[in-house]
Amino acid sequence: MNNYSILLLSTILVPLVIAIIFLGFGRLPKGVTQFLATVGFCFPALGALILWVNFRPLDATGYDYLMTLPTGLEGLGITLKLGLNGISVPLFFLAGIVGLASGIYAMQSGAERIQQYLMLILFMQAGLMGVFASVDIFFFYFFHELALIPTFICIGVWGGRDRHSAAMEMTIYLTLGAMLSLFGLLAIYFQSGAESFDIISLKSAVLNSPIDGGAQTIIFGLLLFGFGILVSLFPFHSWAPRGYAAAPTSVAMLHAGVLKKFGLYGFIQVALPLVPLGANHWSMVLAWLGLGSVLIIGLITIAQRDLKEMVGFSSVMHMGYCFLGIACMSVLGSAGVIITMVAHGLTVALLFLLGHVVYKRTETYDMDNMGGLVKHTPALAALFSAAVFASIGLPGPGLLNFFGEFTVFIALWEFSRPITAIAVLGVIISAIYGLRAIGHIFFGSPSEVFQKHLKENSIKDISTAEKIPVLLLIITLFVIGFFPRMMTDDMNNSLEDNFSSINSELKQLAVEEAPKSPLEVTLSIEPSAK
Amino acid sequence: MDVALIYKLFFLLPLVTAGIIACFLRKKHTLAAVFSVVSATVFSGLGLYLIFASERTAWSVSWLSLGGSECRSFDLHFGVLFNDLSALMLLVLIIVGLLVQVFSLGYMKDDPSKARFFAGLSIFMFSMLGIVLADNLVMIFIFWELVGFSSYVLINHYFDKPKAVAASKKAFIVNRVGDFGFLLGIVFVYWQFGTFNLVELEAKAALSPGLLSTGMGLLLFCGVLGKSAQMPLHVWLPDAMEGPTPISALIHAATMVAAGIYFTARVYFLMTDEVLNVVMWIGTITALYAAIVAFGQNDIKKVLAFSTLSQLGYMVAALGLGQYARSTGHGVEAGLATGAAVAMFHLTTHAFFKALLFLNSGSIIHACHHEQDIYKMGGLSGKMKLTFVTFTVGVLAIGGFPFLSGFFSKDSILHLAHMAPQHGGSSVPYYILLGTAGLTGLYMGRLYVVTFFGKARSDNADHAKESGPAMVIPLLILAVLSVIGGYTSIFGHGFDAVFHSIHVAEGSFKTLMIITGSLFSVGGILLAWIIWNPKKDTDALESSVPVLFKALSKQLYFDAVYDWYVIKIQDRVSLILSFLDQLFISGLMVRGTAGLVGVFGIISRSMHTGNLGGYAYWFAIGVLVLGAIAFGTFKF
Amino acid sequence: MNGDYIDTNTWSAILPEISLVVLALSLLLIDMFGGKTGKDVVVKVAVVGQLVLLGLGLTLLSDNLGFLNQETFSGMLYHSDFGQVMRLFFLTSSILTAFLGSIFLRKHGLPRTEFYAILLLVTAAIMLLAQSNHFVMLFVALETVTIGFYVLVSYNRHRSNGLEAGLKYLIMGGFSTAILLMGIVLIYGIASAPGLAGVSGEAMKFSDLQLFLGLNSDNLIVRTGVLMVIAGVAFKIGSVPFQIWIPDVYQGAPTPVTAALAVTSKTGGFAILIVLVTGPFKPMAELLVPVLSVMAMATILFGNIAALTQRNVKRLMGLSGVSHTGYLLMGVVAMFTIPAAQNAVVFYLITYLLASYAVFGVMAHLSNAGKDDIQELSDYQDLLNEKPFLSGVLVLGLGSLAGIPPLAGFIGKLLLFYAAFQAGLYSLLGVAIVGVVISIYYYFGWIKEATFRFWKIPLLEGDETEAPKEWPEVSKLSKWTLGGLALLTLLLGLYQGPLSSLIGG
Repeated sequence: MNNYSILLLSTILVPLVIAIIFLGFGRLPKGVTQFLATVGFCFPALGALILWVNFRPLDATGYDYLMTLPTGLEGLGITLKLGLNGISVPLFFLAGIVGLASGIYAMQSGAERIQQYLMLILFMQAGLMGVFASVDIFFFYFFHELALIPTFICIGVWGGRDRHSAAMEMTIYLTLGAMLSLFGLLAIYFQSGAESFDIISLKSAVLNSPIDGGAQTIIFGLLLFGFGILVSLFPFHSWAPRGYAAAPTSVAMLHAGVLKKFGLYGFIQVALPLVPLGANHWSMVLAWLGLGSVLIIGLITIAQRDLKEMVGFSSVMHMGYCFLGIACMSVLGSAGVIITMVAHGLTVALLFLLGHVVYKRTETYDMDNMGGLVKHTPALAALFSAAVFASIGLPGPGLLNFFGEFTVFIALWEFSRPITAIAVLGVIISAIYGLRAIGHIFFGSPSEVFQKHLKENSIKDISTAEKIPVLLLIITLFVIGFFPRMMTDDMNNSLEDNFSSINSELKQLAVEEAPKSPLEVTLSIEPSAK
Repeated sequence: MDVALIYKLFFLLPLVTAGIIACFLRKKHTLAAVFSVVSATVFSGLGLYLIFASERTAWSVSWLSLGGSECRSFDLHFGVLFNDLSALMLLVLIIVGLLVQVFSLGYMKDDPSKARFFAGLSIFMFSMLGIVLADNLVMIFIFWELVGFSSYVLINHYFDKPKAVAASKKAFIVNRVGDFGFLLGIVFVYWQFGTFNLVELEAKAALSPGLLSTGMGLLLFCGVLGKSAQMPLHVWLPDAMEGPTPISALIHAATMVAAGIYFTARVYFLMTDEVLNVVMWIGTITALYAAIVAFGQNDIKKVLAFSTLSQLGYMVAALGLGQYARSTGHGVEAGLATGAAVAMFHLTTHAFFKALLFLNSGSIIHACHHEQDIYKMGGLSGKMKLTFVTFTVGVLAIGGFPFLSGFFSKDSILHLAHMAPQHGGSSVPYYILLGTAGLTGLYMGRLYVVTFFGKARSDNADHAKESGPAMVIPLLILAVLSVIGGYTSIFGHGFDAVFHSIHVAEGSFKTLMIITGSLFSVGGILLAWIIWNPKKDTDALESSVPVLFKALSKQLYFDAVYDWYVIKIQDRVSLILSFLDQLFISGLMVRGTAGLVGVFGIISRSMHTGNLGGYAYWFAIGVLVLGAIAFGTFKF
Repeated sequence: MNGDYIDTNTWSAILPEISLVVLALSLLLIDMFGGKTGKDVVVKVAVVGQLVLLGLGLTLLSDNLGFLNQETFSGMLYHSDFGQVMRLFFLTSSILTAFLGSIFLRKHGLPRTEFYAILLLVTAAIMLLAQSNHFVMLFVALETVTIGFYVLVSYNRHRSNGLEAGLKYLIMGGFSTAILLMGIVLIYGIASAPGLAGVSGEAMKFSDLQLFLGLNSDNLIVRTGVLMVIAGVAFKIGSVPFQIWIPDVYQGAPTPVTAALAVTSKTGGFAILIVLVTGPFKPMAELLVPVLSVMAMATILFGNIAALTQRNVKRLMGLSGVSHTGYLLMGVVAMFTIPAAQNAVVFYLITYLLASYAVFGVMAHLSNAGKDDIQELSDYQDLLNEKPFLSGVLVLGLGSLAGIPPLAGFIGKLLLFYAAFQAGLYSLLGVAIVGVVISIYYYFGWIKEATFRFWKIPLLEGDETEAPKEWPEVSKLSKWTLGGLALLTLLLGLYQGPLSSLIGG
């Protein structure tokens, strides 16, 4: 436990404390609010950057900055154990940077009762930092849930149309997913026989005596649906587009950009290493559902007229690639997933952000009521197109997205060639809806509705204030894209550690008994769950 | 000078240029244009140094590295493989690129968004450079996509024209369709050979040919179908003419569309004979199809576009025909395989004369105030002398007039096709290609005659006058190249690996070629004069056989099929799916469950009647149940 | 046994209860002789007095003046650690009830002294209940509590639905008492019947009873008796199938009393239940575990589903309280196999207390004297704009009840689930998931009403706005109390250090 560990802790505490100040101290003067909020958003981002730059995992655990704090739950084997490994470092940074961008945008959003708004977002921010910083799988869950109430209230108070039911559907869905995954995590803890919830001791416990196959199947089933719901896995996706369409921009950015990655991160960091046999049983189901996300949701995305919903659906679609990557159960697959997570996190945040910037100009999200905007806002058009091309994985703006998807495809080929062939179709689909969006919004001649709007008010190009968060995200995406090794090398080491144990366990299984087909497994769940 | 440094400079220069223009010179148009041209000149200088002064090298740095001990490792490098083949392609790119930039100075003089145009050009140069130099498949793919992107941007230059927007979208998406296969092919290759690097691949393929497979080759070739607009993915190229004419010259005639040919030549060792067979047929059919459809076009650029398609067909056919030249031993061990070499040869000459023709058309369009319909032109021969001369050269070159550049390359292709039967191949391609050569002469003749002779059919054409030096000089240079481009010796020995694999016809076949060549080119023009009499101001075919003409002008309804697919299939499917999603998942699954629980809620609510008697029954029931349990009636 | 309960000087063992009674009597005296000022003093005396006791409880009584882990009054009482915790718990909840009363009664212009007097007596009784070691003691204490509540429920005698509620509670309570007594009698009878193994002279004393039941656990009468006692208790904690009275009574009773019913009375029931299942009924595991499990499942489902469609906040709290009973029962079931589960139950009760009083506090503020003190969810609209403080408290309270991190309620649920996991009650856990998910709907529905923006019909020229809803003033005291509760709920969720000794596996 060194100074860096303190820094790690404070990246979580600073936003949390500031949020509690906002909560407790009634209405503060505007200047103070702005200042505190700025601190609350900048500190995690900078801290994350510093921690990433100095990341040197020395001991065998592959973790750095490890620190343990008492919580009062030691009796249950729960301690606040913080640390970062190669897998969590980039995501930790992602949380910081996206949080910063959305925070900046929230501060200039001029929402009424801005202090409460920022307070809730700061709560989310603290949670996000915590999710990726915690080694203890209980707190990993706990921090994720920190965002539930803030999201709900933000959507309801500052959200757009149809916010009531959207917020409710989203919250109920997320709670269901959270409960399932909580039970999965508890089950892992009890089955592994480890004396603590922290992932390191869990891994070592599992390495000595693997959890027995049946239990693993059930546990991974719980996690599959728990995490799956949280990541809007087809067909549990309906909350995502509605929720994001209704949510205020900053919340949508944080949620779609970072919070959603919780489930995937859980799969890679927790589920695969601890219950590999379960994962092996379920991998086909996972793959087909992922394929559904890519293909079906992809086609649905084409049909969207509402810009925000389109972005929401597209993010569901990209999550599909991640599930496919996880299903591969290989270093390459997981690596591709993590790269995609980072790339997609930045991109989707960018899209929601720019989408709202467009909205401010057009006062509608309906893409059929736009057109020809580029003449008034060339810079915005350029940035938006860059974002879209990034999200459809065009190497260039979206070099990182491309690397992510490509790695997934590589891994997928080994897993199943037909699935790969179908999955790659997503490349075409995403191009279709991406270009369609750009065309509808910026090019061609404006629609009648929009022409009227244009007559009434003059439209300015994207302002400097709006540019700041946008450039923040774009530049990050570019830099990591052009120098991917700065994130992939550490990541790769951690993944190799995980999979060395996973594969040994799978080999064991191979000699013991041939794996059951996923269908039988699903059937055999219910009785054995009791 | 350190090689790595040169390459870095080489890559950075256009990119930085684009960046600077995009960030700082967006408003200062002229400055942007000049800046771009200057940097292009420097770029070309560097390029020429690499081509002629420095030895062929390979250089690479690690870019992305995954996997390792636990699984197959996945190493991606940013690398350069600079051999005679890439040198030749680079030469073409530099020459045409620079000339087009200069030409654009004049052509785009009063364009409101010149800066964007030149930024786009720089991006394109950068991406194309990547394809030319890349030493591994993934890198090729990356730049492949980037080229598509820059082409998208440049086609979209007049973005308030809906047609331009649609065309750019179509171009990008159709290319993506090709890239779908391309990408799969790359993955396939990776799992077969465990590497992306071209050198290693060639070695391994030579070592164990068993690893090669038809599927792999065909998948890779999908990319070529898209980029080089071969059937059935050719639909985007004619539309792409919506872009500014210099773009059509550079990207959609000379370089980008040829990238597919170059790529296939680059990975020729991955192509099995079965693949090449398919390739040959696709090329042949495309060549014929395009040549026929060209007769139905009145837009000068469309005609040239289809001639491009047709010529690309020739090149692809040459690649395919290479399967028969393998055994002949010509330069197989020396350097490039014959098929690839021949294709590259035609690519080079075609780049010259097609760029020439397009820039000429640009000059004409410019002079006629952006009038593109050849039936609104006419009589330009007098008004635009230089353009007339250079255009004539172009027409003769493409027609294969003896001892012009086009003659040699086309001759070598036909020769390959001619020899095919001797190696168990079919002779059909030969006759098709020969016939197509005739058609080429004819439709070019039509274009030539209708545009330049007769009287002006519109005021625009009437007031046309010769363009300025910035536009004419490139024309002259290209004209010269179109004349001498066929004599490979003028390029020096830098490209022997390519040119030595070419074997031109000797003896009787050569004389045949000379005859046919001159016949087709000159005869084509004469015949055209008879059929499409420049005095008339309507198309002869249109007036005589309107049905046929309509079919041709509609490109034999390929576009109709495309649109039908998009509107009737794709959009409907997506709409239906999203409806089903609303109905079943959001509706039935989610709301349904919620509703069900709600019903239970109402039921349980109705139990609270507020009536004491009713509540007493609850107690009674409760006690009875517990009693029953106590008496062991119920067991758990 | 002999010796330690012969000596008579054990009164100090129940000093807190005695002093509560004294306090209650003194309130009456003050009211009688104090005149106008006295009436106002009463509240302060009541609250301050209890606060002093609480202070004492936390310090001096930690070992109950040396009587800890001893039987007193010839085995009538047994002073365990659990008993001590419960004493403090009831004292706290009584103080909070008094605080709610001070807000509520003034609003509705109801007499105060009697309210506090009764409240104190009830508290004293229920504190004894938690320490009872003998069925007679248990019954007497329980009845004292219940009778106290009969009065309190219908305290607002000017209102019909108050009286109706009182009547219902009275009759239902009567039923349950009868059943309970029947059970006790059966057990007594069989336990003192000669010829059966382990019969003792002190058949009603828990320690002896445990031995007896251990030896005759499958005796028919024993089983019947035990189950009837459980039924009696089930009424108090409001578990299916004895929960049916809850919504009506909760709705009719004055808000502070509703709070007391929800927290004090329910906890009292659980105190007995814990005493019983850790004591005399321990040997009956194979009978009780399935019974209680089924009751728990039914209770969770019924409570949540019935609460789903409620629009009246008091009924909502009542039915959601039923679901909490279910979760707690799960803990009780786990106690048979995992003794540590008791800590989980206690911790859950504490978080439940904090959250409930926070919510009831807000409700007490919003109950406007004008109307018949019926609160619909829609009355909470615009709370965030008008009273951000109250809405904040409400959100934290409801969030905690729903069991959302980082609030105390989540830790409470976590502990219960943890225990249930250890005890292997997987099917119960499955039901619990469903319950929690359903509960989100109405808890967050309430938050929604309180916080979200609602579209209102814009007023045209000329049509007059209906009288604007008058929003209550929040006094300093209320701010501190409610703020304190909310903050505790938050902090206890983030850091459980202080209670780790209580939690400690």
